[in-house]
Amino acid sequence: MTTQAQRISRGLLAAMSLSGMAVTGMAQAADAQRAVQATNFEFGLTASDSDTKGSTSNGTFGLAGAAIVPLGSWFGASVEAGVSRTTARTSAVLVDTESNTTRPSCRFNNTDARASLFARRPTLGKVAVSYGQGRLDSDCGDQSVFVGTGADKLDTDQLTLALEAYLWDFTVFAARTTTELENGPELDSDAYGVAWYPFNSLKVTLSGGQLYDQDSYGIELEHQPEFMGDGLSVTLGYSVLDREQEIGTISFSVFYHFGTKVPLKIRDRHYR
Amino acid sequence: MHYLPALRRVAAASMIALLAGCGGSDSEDGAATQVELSTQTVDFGSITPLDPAPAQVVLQAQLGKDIAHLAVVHSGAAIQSATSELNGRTANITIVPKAPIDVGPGVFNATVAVTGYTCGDAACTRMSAGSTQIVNVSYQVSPLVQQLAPRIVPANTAGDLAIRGIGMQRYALSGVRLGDVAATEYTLISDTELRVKFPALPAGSYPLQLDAPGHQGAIPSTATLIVQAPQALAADVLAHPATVGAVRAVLYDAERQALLVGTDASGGSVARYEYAGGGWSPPLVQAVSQLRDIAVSSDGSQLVVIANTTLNTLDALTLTPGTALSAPNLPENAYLKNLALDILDRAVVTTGIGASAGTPAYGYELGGSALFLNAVTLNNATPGMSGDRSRAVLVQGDPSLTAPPLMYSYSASSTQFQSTGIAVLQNTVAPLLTSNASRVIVNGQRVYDSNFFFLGTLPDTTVAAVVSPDGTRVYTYDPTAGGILAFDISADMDEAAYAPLGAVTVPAAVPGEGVKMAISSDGATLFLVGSAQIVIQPTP
Repeated sequence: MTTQAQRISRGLLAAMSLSGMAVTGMAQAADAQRAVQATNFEFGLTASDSDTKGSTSNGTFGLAGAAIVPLGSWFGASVEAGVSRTTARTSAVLVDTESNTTRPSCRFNNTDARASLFARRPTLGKVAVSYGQGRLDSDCGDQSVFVGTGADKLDTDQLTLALEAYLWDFTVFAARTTTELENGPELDSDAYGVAWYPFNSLKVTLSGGQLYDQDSYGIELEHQPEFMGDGLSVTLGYSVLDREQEIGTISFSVFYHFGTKVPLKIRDRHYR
Repeated sequence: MHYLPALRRVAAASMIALLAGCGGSDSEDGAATQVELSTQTVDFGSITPLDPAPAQVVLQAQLGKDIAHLAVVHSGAAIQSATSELNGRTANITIVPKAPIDVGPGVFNATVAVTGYTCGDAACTRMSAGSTQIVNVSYQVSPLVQQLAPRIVPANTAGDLAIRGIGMQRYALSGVRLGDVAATEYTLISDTELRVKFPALPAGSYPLQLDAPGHQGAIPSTATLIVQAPQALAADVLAHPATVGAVRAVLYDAERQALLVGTDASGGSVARYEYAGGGWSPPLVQAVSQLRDIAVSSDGSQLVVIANTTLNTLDALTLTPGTALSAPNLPENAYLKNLALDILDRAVVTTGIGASAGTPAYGYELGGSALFLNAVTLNNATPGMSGDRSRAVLVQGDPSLTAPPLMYSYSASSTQFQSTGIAVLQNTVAPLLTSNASRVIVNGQRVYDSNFFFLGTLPDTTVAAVVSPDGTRVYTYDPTAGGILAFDISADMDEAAYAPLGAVTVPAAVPGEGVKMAISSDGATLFLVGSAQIVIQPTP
């Protein structure tokens, strides 16, 4: 026989169990809405090759890394840093008059770092503000000068405002960057685009924008193969800066993501 | 939650509107990334290897407003540097050519590329090339013909010449001319040495020219052949201006018909006797204390004289001295003994010490500011130079030696000394070489060919000797035989004695002791200078 007390206690237990499930569900729902699910890191190699019509082409190779941390439920922050070297191929413009002479190389070394603060709702989108600094060193021929400094070094500061909207399998984004060149003019640039996730592990991005008041557009594919354990992403892209000396750039990068083994779409909207 | 789809639609519409707006930019603004140059052609002209580097060229570059970096790079061996100096959005680009002696003769086409770089991405983490402008640089360094030897040859007689220059192999030669007359044969020995056979020429001056189709303009030449008609000089006797104990050197300046005699008169002097108007002028005398030897420069304009410890120059016409240079690190009791000048007026200066001991040989380049030590030590050596100044032979040794030392040769091509492998103890007769060094006469007694094969002997009573300009004869002064003897040394005697040509010629007077001889460029007159007097004697 079941006593009244037993019925009451069962009812209480059932109620507590239901309320516990509800709390757990709410908490899980709240976790799913966090700007950054968990602190994560990524590190990788970047490479690109730019070809300027009628001028020199150059190749860039570099290393980059980022740390992304949650700041409460709504906010996140990231710190990114990179080093790269660009080497211009002067053979395209210097006539080989004497095969026994060596052509001078032209190199640019870059170091840069950037800190970002952003607010995100994984179901809606992201608003980010970034500030970064960089330094370029050049080594070209007998003497190499940046116009602003008259020397072979140039410091830069950048401020970026970026917006992302998550629309089903699409992400629409826009960004505006203002870069101040040392002792030189400010460089304003805009970027717009849409990314599509045909699969959770593949992203196709079409982008456009303006750099130096000149149109740029590009396409990029990023893939995070499942057989690599969702920890490695590979990106291949092509972009064009449409001006009199049109520049076409092929880019490639490989990044490893530490700790977070999630599909690419989840990574983009919950971790990056 | 029902308002989320609406928010998404608003966001999507906003983004699409933003994307639609990106087509309106000024993509034709090419000037912003352009570099404009004031000139795209630089010609440094044509100069010789010994000229100073041409003046640098400065050109201006106007930089478009978006250019953040200016790179100036160059190719080609002829450019020393290409640098830029910025002034706002104008850059002065300075192109400095290399010194011609550093690049050597040749045609050099270099390229300077001026590239303006712009930021390659929004954050300017990489640079992308804007426009590149090319400056085409041309620079011709010509070969240079410096000297020829012998410089003075007799008229109507074919002969050989040695030519010295710089970069003579850098351009393919199509011919060699003496004035308008083509050489009968020419052989490039090296980049600095050319051998030429010339036909019989009438009297006159003949600038030597190299023809090279690949060279723009005439190849510079400072070499001129002087072809002289025979200069008949009657037998004569000239007195020394003062008492002479030892004759140091005798030279005949055929170009000016002057005899230069170096002696120990008055402590050392050079006397110049000029033949004009059918007679010899009184001597012009220049004191050179402790004079030891004299040589004449390739162009005949200067005399190089050495005294016991110094070297100096005299003007060949006025005997005006230059600045004396001391021999550095000359061993105690040693003195400068003899000298010879090669075709490029590089002196080989030997030293003596009055005993059997090795002492250094010095070098000197005419016009230089110091003597330098050569990497050879010799025992009281005496040099003799070929008529074309390409080769010298040095004999050495002190009379106290019982074992003869080795004989050395000096090459003007390499400026190196080399043992000949022949041991011989020198006497008072300096080595004699024919014009092209095809014969070498040692001690006035032993005749060798150019490879130092022993050919035959001359009388061991010879006290002085001289070879004819054409190299076929040697004239000896042999007091024991009674005067002057002539020998044809063109033949190989298989180490036997050469027979004199005809009877002995008794000179117009007895020259005295320590005789030294010279011969006119036409081979018609002998000069015998001894302690007593100067005897001028037509050749037998």
